[in-house]
Amino acid sequence: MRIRRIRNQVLKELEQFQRDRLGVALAFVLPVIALLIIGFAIRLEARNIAMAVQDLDNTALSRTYIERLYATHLFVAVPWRGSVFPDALDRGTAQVQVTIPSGFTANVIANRQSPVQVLIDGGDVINARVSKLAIEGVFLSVLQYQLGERSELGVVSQIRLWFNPGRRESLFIVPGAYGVILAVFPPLLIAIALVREKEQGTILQLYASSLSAAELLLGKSLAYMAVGLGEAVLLFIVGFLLFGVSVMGDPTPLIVGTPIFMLASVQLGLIIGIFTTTQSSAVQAIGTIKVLTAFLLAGFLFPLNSVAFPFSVFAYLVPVRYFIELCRNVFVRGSGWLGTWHLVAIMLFIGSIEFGIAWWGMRRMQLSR
Amino acid sequence: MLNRRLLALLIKEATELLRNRQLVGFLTLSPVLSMVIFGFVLNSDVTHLRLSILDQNQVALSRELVDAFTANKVFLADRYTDSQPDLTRQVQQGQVDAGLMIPATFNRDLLGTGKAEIEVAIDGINAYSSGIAKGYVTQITTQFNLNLLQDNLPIGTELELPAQPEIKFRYNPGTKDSWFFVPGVIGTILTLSAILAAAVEAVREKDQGTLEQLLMTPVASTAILISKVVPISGLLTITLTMCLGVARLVFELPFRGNLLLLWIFSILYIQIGVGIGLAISTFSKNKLQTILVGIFLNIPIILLGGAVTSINSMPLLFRWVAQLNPLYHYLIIMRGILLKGVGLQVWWVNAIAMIAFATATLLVSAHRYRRQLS
Repeated sequence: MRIRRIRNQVLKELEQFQRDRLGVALAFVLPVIALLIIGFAIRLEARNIAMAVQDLDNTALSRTYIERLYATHLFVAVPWRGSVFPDALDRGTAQVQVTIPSGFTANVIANRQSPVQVLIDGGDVINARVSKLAIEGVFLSVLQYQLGERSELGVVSQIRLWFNPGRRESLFIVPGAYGVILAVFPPLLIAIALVREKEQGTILQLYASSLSAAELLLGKSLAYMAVGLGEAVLLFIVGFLLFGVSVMGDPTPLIVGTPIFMLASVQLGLIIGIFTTTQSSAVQAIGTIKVLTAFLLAGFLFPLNSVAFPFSVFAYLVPVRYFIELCRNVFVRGSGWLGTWHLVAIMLFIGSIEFGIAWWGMRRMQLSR
Repeated sequence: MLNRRLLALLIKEATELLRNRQLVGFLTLSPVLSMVIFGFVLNSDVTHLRLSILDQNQVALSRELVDAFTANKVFLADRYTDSQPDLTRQVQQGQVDAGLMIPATFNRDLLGTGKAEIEVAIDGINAYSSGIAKGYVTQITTQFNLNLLQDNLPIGTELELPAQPEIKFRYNPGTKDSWFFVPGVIGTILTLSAILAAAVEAVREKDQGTLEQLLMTPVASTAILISKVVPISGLLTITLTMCLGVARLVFELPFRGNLLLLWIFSILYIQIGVGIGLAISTFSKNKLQTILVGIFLNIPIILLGGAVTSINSMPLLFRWVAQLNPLYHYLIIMRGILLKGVGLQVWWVNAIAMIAFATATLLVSAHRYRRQLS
């Protein structure tokens, strides 16, 4: 292996890449636009859930309950539309319907059961879970308040939300978006570049030269890792300027971790490029493997604690997952190397295995078939 | 005459598409496989939050409280510590998701003054899961207090809780996550595949220079366009049908509404995706640009369309933008048919929107494609 050959390979690759000026511009501008859209639009904390209330009792107590429900800032009021099919839930104009029965107050005072009917659109599981919890919470708190007059006993829990007391969503979304975007664009570029050489036949010249498989792969990887690092730096800057997401504490885990993640990320693009024969299939592979896993399998939106066993294994194989965790540690928790060294180690491990697979696929430097 | 030429062209394009085995695999098998995997993996439930416990009191009452926290699967007693700095460090480094601190004076305060404070620290980075965790903590402590109250009542009397909510989930009584996410993933996959396949296939011939040969033949440019669109749409329709079948078998998704309507609007959605893909290809100069824009466009379409996130939680501006997203309308129709069993009388507005999108994208792309050819 010669350093000079690898260096020439890197320079040639970058030279070829920068020749398409509009392509280069897109490669840097599109990730930034993606970050802006994700950062400004995605909200995980539920709000504006449409709730229709039918108050058949219409007393001070029933109105107290309704007020408390809206005081959670979770629901917005929509008019009650009756219960004939298709009702507000069927139409999707309401996601929660609450019916307070007539005689509710009288029954409560007389200690008779008087259940309040709550109907939730279970089709949207995210809003359904949050709504159920909030409604139960309101009923328990009113109850405890009423019982409190009879008993003084009670545990008070002081709940503190760490790192993000103001619940700024960008602190969670933006570091996650770094991972998702960097898991998609750099591997896409390298896969296209490799398959283009195959389609145009220029790869034959490389096969015929004295270049070894490892040198070829390293050259291409380093070139696109450089492009990816450029994208990363740009994203970090935009994230800081527009979303106020800045490094907390020690920045070295990020400085070391980002190139290592880029290695792992780019290797997968390389593997896809090696094992696909046309650009159409390479792009489809990137689309279904990289885009989907980055969005859905890396803990970008939902925590991965709840994934059941055989399928949780898939989530452990995705390097983005560790990079997103690293970004959240560096940009929000500020936990330094103690909380991040294992993430970097795992990414390095996955990256090396991927390099091994890529080398194995490329080792003969021969046309397939 | 035209029909025979069109047919010949269609056969040529279809054979060419089918000859690319890898592409056919990525357009048919991998969507079904992805749908199954993500149907199992996607889970918005918040469970198994790792809890670190610092019980400085160590009496029966404090242990009861700890049990109350870990009784359901929301919190998992991950580790016990005996010092405050330890607990702080564990939350700080992300080793646990939450910490429970019971002070040494817990039972003395509670039995003496009637009030005792505990402290719960929750990793608040994720607004969604920390919000849910917060809700559970409040619920657990309130329930604990009610139980205490019950224990202190004279024997034989029951604590009456007359005002209770009776919560029912309509359409999805078991709140199965897959019933929500699988339609979202199907929509996502159709978007990705249709846009990317159409965009790349449309520039392929331009790139290889075989387009000029095609232009020398006496076929109309419309025929060329149709021959490009139909094979991809046909293949994706097969994929969609397989996805729906597997969703029914594996996830027992209820098919409550008119399946034919769902099928028709799915085909319409595939056309929209293909139209967008073609349009991208005509706007960009080469393959790299086409692919970059194609992949990029998928990000807002998927994330802002309500496939895996809730539209209602987004800022107002983006709730309006969602109306311009074909996936948003398609998902309302798909979930309406599959889960709610509602028909055109409910989602006719979305149906009109989809028809408008399909017409617009196909007209624009056809116009631009034709102009490119001449």
